[in-house]
Amino acid sequence: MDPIAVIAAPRRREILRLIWDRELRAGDIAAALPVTFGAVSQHLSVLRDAGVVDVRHEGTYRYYRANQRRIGPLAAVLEAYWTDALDRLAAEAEQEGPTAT
Amino acid sequence: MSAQAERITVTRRIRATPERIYRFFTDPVMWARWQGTSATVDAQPGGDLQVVMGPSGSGLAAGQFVELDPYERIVFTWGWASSPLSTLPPGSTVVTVHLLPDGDGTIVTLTHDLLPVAERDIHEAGWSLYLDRLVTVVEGGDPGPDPSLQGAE
Repeated sequence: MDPIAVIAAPRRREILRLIWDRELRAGDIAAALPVTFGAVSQHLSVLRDAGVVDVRHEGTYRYYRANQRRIGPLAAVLEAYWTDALDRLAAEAEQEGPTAT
Repeated sequence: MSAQAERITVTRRIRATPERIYRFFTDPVMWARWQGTSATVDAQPGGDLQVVMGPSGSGLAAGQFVELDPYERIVFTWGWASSPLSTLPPGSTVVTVHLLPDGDGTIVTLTHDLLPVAERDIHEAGWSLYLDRLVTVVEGGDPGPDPSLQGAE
């Protein structure tokens, strides 16, 4: 698969961020994002097919984790995006200020 | 960047085989004939790509090769270690070059992904300029010195 197709989808970038340096189950990933379990499952299967996500079976559970070695130079692209998105969130939070509720 | 990531695509037809054009993306001396004044081109996955630009060398484009499918596709990351015009961090975006045989020539399609909106126009203008120069060089002409960054330095 085209590496661009893997990282050009915003939702897949978010998933990679969640499992960048830790293992998570698909259910944990779905709980952290405003999407259905089915959608997460589909994204994970694209990422697995591309070889950029490893899966480990334990009992009835599957644990997913980003394969940073396979992601290679694209890691810099992902990290720039994440940093920028974080900066933007921080800026928005600052603009809104503390809430009175 | 999430809601703003942009894609630009620039396409040219060149009267040459994909095999010939591929060398202009995988050899440092040949790269610098169409872009920049000198280049570091380590054409293997994870290998460095750096292009010195501008009359006084004030621009340094920097990225790494991601994938090379001989004569068909070259994928590399792209950004700037220094530039008077762009704040794109080194290796922070992705460029894909597709080579598609077309009769006695080749269609070259360059796609630049994940560009912030503020960087879109300058990179579209840049790649248009450079693919024009690539056409000239590959077809045996002399495009003259790289005019980029003149006046911006």
